[in-house]
Amino acid sequence: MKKILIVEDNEKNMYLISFILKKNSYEVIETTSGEESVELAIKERPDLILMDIQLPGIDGLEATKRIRASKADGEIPIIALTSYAMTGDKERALAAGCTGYIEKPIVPETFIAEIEKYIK
Amino acid sequence: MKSKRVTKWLCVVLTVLILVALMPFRVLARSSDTPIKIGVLAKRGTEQCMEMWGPTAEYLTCEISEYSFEIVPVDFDDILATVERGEVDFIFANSSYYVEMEVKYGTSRIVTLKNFRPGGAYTVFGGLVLCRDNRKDITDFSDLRGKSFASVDEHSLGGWRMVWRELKKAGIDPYRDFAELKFVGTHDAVIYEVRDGTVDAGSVRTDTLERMVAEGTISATEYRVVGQRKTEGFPFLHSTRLYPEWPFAKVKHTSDNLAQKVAIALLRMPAESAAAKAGKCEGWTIPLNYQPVHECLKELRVGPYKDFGKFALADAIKHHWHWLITIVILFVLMMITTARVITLNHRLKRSRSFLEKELVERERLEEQLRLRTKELEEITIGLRQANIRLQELDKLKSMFIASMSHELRTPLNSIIGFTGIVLQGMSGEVTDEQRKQLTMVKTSAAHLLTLINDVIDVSKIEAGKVELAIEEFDLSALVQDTKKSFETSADEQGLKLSLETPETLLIKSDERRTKQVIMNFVSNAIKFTDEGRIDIKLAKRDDEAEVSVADTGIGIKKEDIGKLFQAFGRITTENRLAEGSGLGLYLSKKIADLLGGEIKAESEFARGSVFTFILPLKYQELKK
Repeated sequence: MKKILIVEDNEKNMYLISFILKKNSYEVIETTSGEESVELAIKERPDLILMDIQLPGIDGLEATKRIRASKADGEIPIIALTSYAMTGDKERALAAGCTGYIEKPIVPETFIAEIEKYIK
Repeated sequence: MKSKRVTKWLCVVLTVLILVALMPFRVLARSSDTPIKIGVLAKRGTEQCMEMWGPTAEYLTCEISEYSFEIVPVDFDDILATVERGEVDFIFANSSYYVEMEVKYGTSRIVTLKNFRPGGAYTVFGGLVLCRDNRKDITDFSDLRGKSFASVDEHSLGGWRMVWRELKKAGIDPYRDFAELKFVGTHDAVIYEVRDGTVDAGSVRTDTLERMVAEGTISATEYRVVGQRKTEGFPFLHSTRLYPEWPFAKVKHTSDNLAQKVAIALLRMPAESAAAKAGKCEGWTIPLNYQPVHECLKELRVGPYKDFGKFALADAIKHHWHWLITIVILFVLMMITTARVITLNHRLKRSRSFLEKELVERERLEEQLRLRTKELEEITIGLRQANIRLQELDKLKSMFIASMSHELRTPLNSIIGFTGIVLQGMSGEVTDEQRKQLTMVKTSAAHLLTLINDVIDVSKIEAGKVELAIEEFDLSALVQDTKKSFETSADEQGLKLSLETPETLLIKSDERRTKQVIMNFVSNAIKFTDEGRIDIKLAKRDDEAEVSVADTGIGIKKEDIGKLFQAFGRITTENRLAEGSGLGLYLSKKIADLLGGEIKAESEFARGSVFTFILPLKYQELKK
């Protein structure tokens, strides 16, 4: 069973993404904090990380950088959840070390197909 | 023949006889009709003059038989005029008059008088200055300063002019430095004036004193000589240099022959002759040198030398006319120059006053400018503050947009996401009615999301806050993706959606913004087309890419085409309340501008429209 770490501070979005993934037989680890996401990434070694950019505390970009900087990082695919309105989010995400990005709002019909491209 | 010769001889003899007879007659006629006139200066009156010199005329008439001579007494006032007019043939006057006539009228002396005086005859004479013996304060000429003085006559040579010359030499101007100067007429009168003490001193010609003493009129001890001189062979008391006695001179018109005869006769005159005795002389001697008299008169500037040394204008003009002309020319030039200078000066003054006015005006303007500058500075400060405030507001606006973007979208994402899940049946079975209604929720949510996105985009573009992400991408792939994403909705409306494109078309631009424009075109076409087809075409034209979207929709009226690209420029169409923000084309136009491209719209009402997006293959940053 593939393990996916979701970093998302919005409770409803978290539930939505988590619901879709669980329905598609993924093991889901959830966190709302950037700091915790780094710890979980090292500890749990998920197969994929879905990283929201806007987070309280350290943001998704910083968290990504820290994960990439840690020795535990074994090239875990990190997918940024970018906002349409924020120009440059996706560039900044790729620059910070993200593997790819999915623009919000997520489209449930195509969501699984999109993330499966990144899972080894 | 013989008688003829006799007649001839008679004629000759007669002629000669007549001529001989006529010659003496002519001479005699002259001598008797016009006697030779001898002018004599009558210094003591006509009578005495005739008494003294009448015998001399008689003597000459006697000596020179062919002429008769007569004395013409002339007084002081007439003597020069008489000679000038040639009324006399000879003139006998004092040396002073003589030199004047010599200079002016060419008179020339032929003999000089040998004046008889007690103790001998003398051809020279001088002047004597006297004071009373008791005047110890007067010994030299210099002591005469400020004293009263008496003399004979201003024209008297021995009595006055000789003395004047010596006074002048001693530094005294008698006409200025004497307390009183009077001319009493006769030599004797001067002697009496001095004796009587009416004057401090006086002057007479030499021998006057000795004569009067001899006559017993006065006593010699009562007088003392001032400035006495000694001259060898001259026995009389004198105070001046000595000068030659009266000359006897011929007037210019008198012939040399006659003058010679007269001179010889006079030189021959014996001392004991009646003529000599009457004239109180010892006869005559050869003419003396009158140069000393000339010098005396010259120094005194009297007689012929009245104007000596003075500037005579006529002479000067005659002698120096070329200089005069030069001076006149120079003067004229100077006047012209002066006039020019004055004119220039005047002009200068005028322009100066003009400049001064200008200066005042300029200062006024500068003052105004200063005030204006100050005002402007204040305004600038105000503007700067306003600008700071605006920047703060702008920052606030950006923050508001960012926050709105996130805060509005997050709940929308949930709505769209969850409706999607439910519609997919992940949350359990969905009835047809439920599906229909949930689809409406989803569409509305999607519409709302578009609205929000558009508003945010407009705000950003208008604030100049759009950050372009320029990179190379395949426009063909982008157009294909777009087509794909609209296939479902086109199908649902029964529209045929076609695409004509080269396999690849790499361009360098902002991919997302380009896609936004094309998607706007296609979604509009679907929205406004009820039946028919939508054709998307991509083509390369030179260094531009051209994307056109043609539909068979409702079209746009000509008068409405201008409104197409206005914000919220929604065109009211009957029976159609189009869903949209009213910002789509406005945004597309702005994006096209940002990317250096353009948008063209062609339309025919009720037949369809073609929207074309032209953008450069290589984005070039716009120069502001």
